[in-house]
Amino acid sequence: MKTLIIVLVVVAGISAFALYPSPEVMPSKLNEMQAFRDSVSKVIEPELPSEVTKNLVIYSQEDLIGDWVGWVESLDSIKTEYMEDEYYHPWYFTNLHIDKFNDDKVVGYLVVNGLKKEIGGTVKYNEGVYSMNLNTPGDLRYSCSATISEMDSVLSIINVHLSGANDFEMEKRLFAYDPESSVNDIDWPFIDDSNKKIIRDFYVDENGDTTVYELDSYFTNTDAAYKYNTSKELLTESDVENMKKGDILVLRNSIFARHGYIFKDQKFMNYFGYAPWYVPCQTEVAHELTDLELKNIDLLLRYEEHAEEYYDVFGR
Amino acid sequence: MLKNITMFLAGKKWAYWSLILLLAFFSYLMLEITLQYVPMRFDVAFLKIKQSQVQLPFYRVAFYVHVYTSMLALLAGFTQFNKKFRSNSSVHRNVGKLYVAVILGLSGPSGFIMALFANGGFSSQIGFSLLAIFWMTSTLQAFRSAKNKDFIQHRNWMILSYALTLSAVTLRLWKMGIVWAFQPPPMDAYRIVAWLGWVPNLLVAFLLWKKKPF
Repeated sequence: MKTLIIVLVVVAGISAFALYPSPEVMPSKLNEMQAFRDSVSKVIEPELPSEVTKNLVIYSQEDLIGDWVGWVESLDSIKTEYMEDEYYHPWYFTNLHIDKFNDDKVVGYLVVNGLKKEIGGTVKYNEGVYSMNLNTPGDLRYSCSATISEMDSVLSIINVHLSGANDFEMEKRLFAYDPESSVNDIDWPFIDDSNKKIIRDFYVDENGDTTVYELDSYFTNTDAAYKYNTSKELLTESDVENMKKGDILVLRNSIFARHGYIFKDQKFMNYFGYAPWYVPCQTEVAHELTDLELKNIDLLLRYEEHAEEYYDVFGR
Repeated sequence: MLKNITMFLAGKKWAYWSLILLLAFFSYLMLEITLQYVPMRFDVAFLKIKQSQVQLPFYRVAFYVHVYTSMLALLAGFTQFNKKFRSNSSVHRNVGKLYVAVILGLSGPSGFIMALFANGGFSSQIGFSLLAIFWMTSTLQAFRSAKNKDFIQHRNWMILSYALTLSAVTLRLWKMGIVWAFQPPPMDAYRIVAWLGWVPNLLVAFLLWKKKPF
């Protein structure tokens, strides 16, 4: 009898605490995020869109205005882990945005390695060739020359300083938010090569000898990431609960990619750079997110945090 | 095999103390897990992915009853298997009563309610529900046999009950091992450990079952 009373008191005590909070203080960050979006959209002045022509081939100087994307091979040397004295050059998906022309003055910005750098300079037209000399005041690393011929669609960047980079080419890409844009357009999985694990496997040859070998296994996504479009359909807990962290990362960040977000992390820039629709041209996208996207972000974020904290440890 | 091992270990002081140390280590880890939920919050750890259940008031109660009281059941392992504390000692009786009260009154029923809403769908819900049911029935049987002074059966049932109590530890160890070896999707791992966490424990406890006094 005494035991029964103690049990009841314990249950009542815990119940009192557990039932006390009202549902409004529940952990979903959705309301918070919606409030943030609304506050941002009040503050942000709608930028006058630059007059981007739909021409992907250059007929006049006005057709130069817009986003030019391409891959830069930096001359920075990063040491490989496998062999002594082996280095590789990192590749950056890059956007050169030409905003407008004031006579022969160019105004624009360059997005490289997660940074947006205001860039300016002059444009010259000579015998069917437009050439621009661009630089960031006080920062030599972001200066370059770009040339393109009339009737051409490829902007050649030469003499680049991007802390030392090979010459490269860029193509004009038209930016528009489209919920239909899909991760399925990307031919490669998302790979985080800084997050590696060595796995051992073995094979037995015809003599019955066993050979053990080592494989590098990188943090990546699975096919689950290709099943959903996070800007079009509302995900449920049962959709997400069995996803690995790589899938969650890809699905959540694809929302920002569709809005043209400039990822601070070059891994995402490069990954979405393979999508024909991705144009990194926005530093702030919070005010553009739809309610459906916010709901998906809220859900995915919870599972992402949970996976980060608890997937491979003792506990919960 | 298992009998040989237990025969070999029986009466060995170092074996007893290393088991106690092991239990202390895992109890400490479990305490850390419990402390994640102090003070009471609804957006941490496990609850991050239980949002639709957290909206249910009785789930919140069951969850916190389970989290805060289950540690007490684990503590019984420190005293109850010690010969000195057995045979009519008040320590053995009082800790035993606490153990039975915690499992039958608090941790077991709340675990059963949580099992009905377990992640991973039908299979893990069945797995955890059976665990809760076996846990409570074995504890009840152990309590009744002690009341009837049938101490052989009391020993058998208590070993079974405590083996299921230890599933809290073994489940998490299995999960770590499976993730380390195969990196499965998280919910697949969870579905596996919903069964693997306690069925082997039950089997080992059955192998230790005795008919005669020892």
